[in-house]
Amino acid sequence: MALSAANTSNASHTSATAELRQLLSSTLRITVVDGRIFLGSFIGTDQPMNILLTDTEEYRIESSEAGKNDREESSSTSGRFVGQILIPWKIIQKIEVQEPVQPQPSARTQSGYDGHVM
Amino acid sequence: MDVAASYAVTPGGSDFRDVTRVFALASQEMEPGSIVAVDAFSLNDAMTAIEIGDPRLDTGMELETTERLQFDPLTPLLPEEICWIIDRSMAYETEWHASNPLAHTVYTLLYVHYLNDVDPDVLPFLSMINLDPSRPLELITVVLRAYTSGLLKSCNLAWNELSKGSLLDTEDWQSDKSDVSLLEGWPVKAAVARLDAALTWLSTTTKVPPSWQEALKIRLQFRRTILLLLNSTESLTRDHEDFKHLLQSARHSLSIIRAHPCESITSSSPAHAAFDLHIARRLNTFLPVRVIEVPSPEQTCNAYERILNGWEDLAGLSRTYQISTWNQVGLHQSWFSAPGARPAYIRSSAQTLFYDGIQIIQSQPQSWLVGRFFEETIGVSYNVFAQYWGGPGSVSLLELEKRVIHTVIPHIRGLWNNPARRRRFLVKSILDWHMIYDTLCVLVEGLDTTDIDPVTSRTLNQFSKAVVLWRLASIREVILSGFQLELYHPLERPFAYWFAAQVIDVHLGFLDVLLNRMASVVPQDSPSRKEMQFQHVFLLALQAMSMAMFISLIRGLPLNAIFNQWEQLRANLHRRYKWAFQPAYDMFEFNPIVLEPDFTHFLREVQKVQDLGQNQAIVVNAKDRTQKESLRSTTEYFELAQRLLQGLISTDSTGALEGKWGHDRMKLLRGMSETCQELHPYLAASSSDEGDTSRISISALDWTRSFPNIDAFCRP
Repeated sequence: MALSAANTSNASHTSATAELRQLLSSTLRITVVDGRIFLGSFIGTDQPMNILLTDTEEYRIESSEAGKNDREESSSTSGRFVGQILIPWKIIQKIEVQEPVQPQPSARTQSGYDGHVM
Repeated sequence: MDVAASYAVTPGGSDFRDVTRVFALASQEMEPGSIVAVDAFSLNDAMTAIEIGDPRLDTGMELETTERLQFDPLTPLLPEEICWIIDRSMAYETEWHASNPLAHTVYTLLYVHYLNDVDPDVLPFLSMINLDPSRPLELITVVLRAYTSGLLKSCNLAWNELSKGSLLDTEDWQSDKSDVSLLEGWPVKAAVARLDAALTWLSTTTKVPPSWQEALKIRLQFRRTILLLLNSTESLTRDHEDFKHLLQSARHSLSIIRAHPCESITSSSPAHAAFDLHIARRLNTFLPVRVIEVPSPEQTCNAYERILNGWEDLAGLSRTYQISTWNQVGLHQSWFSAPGARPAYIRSSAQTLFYDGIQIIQSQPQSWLVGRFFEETIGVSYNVFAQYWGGPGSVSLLELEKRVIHTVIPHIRGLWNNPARRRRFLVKSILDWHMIYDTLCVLVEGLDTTDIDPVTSRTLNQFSKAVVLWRLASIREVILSGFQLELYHPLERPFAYWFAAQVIDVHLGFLDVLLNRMASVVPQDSPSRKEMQFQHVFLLALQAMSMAMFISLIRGLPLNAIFNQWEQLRANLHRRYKWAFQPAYDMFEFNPIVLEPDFTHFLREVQKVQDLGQNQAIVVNAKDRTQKESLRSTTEYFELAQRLLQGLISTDSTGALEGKWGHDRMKLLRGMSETCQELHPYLAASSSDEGDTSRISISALDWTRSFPNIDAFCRP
């Protein structure tokens, strides 16, 4: 297993590492080189960036050739559960994090609301 | 794919921010060996994760060597291409029945995943897009859709039977549905109606050439019949005649399909895209992807033939209310064919038919077994015995009856398990049979016999012998099935044959008592007496064959090999026959008949075989009880066995088995007789070559014929 066990306190607390810590438990969307997308909860990584996700769903986005078929595309976008996975850095194309959902501003806080009840 | 469309289908939606750079920078900052992880993280989390990109673990990975054809379910196809798809899906169905996962077999047919996309009701513009008259789209939307629906429903019905727990998931069959529907909630009637509609369309259309109409119709009819057979198996005893008609119809359809297999299609045909052998990569399954070789049309028809034969047996068994016949049929089917030749579905259905958790053979209460057991084994009604304790079902007999029921049911059902599990069941039953024997002996011993006449008293004593006969047969089966399972080390094999001969010897002794000395107990002309007489001759032949193999193998070993390695061999035998050394037997009041093998006796016999020359007399324990003569050599043992078997064959003696089951038994006898005949030249050759039995080659003999635990008699 590429992910090595070591004391987490060894990691230096510089900005990027600190920012990485902020991402723990967030939902990551990782695109790998063969076109698959993994959507799962980020639970850890090591220095070579072998990324561990849990409760992961695998999605397969067809290439433009295969994607001509709407039915094919629609089916491929329904994920399959793959559970706990480890994705090595060498096959990662892109890592994205889900932004926390911002609460919708309510009518009361909107500017221009004058407080009068209709 | 345009950007907007791509964006719309990106999993998770649009609320994501790219953090690739954060990870890249953190990697540079972190010390080698350090990790960033959640608090609850353990090394186990890392160890149990599936590594993406590792072809051994990552089932979703597309290998560069695998080429996927683009599949569009509405691609118009020629009738021959539809026929090819149907035949191939049938081949995969038989592979699922042969214990492969659905994801590697039936699910490789992509129409399974696109049934809704080919529904004519949701395709109003169908006629406008169908431009090629030789490729009518109805072939997809009506014919193939109906066939695929029927195929899935068939799998669903078989799945339901297999999931009842008689057989073991992943050992006998694969239950994993990978979250794909097998049309579970859809009624069988609806599937049949859809097939009927397709058959009607094929009968009336002018869009398909007549020859292909017939080819497609016969395949749809076959599917329809298979579906109905699967649906009727549970009610076999009630709808017996309908079932037989369906079976006949299925055989007729299969014979036509066999005679007119679909020719292969061109390599450029779009029909090839209908199968994705790596579909498991896209399904919810953790099974490693394995490409299953498609069986040939001949192999597929043979596989269906085996299922139909299994149904034929089930139809016969549904009218068989003799448990000894069930027992013999169970033994025959495990002796006759290779384990792979018996579909799991049939093995499960046979077990369900015998006992479905409530009734025996869908009609009898459990207590019915007790009466049948004694009456069939020794020919005396259980009432004769039970009346002295208050009649069947009385409190004093509850324990006995419970034990008989709880031993006979798993014993019979276990005969339809796979060979390894069947042997384990039999091993377990050896102790259970002794428990019944002990209970019977205790009951009879405690009975006040002052008012009972000597004949009745003698009869009561014979009831325990009925149990002994079943127990000895189980022990014999356990020993000989070890050859089928290739359990024995070459040095253990002579012992196994010798021990089998010993057990048979005791069995023959009990049959002698019941047939001759206690002649008044087993009624003349009763099926029980007939069966005992058959068993007597049959077991003599089997014993002679076992002794022949024992002597032959000892002579094939280097001199004193058994003695030189006895310490190790003794320990191995203790482990191998651990069921015979169970301390549980100490709990009983009565000693078991045949338990621990007598190693000293065995060594004496080995010494005797070694000491005596090839042409000198070998007087061992296997005396011919009918002719009272001593036997001299392995050849003579086989000659004796053959004589005995030929005697049964020439008098058409099949014991209590009649009809189809009697015919099967006769086939078995012929197979054994021919085996004895064929072993002569090999044993003669080995005798002249200082007993080199290694020259007996398995491949040199035709072992395809029926033979009880044939492996037991073909391994040097």
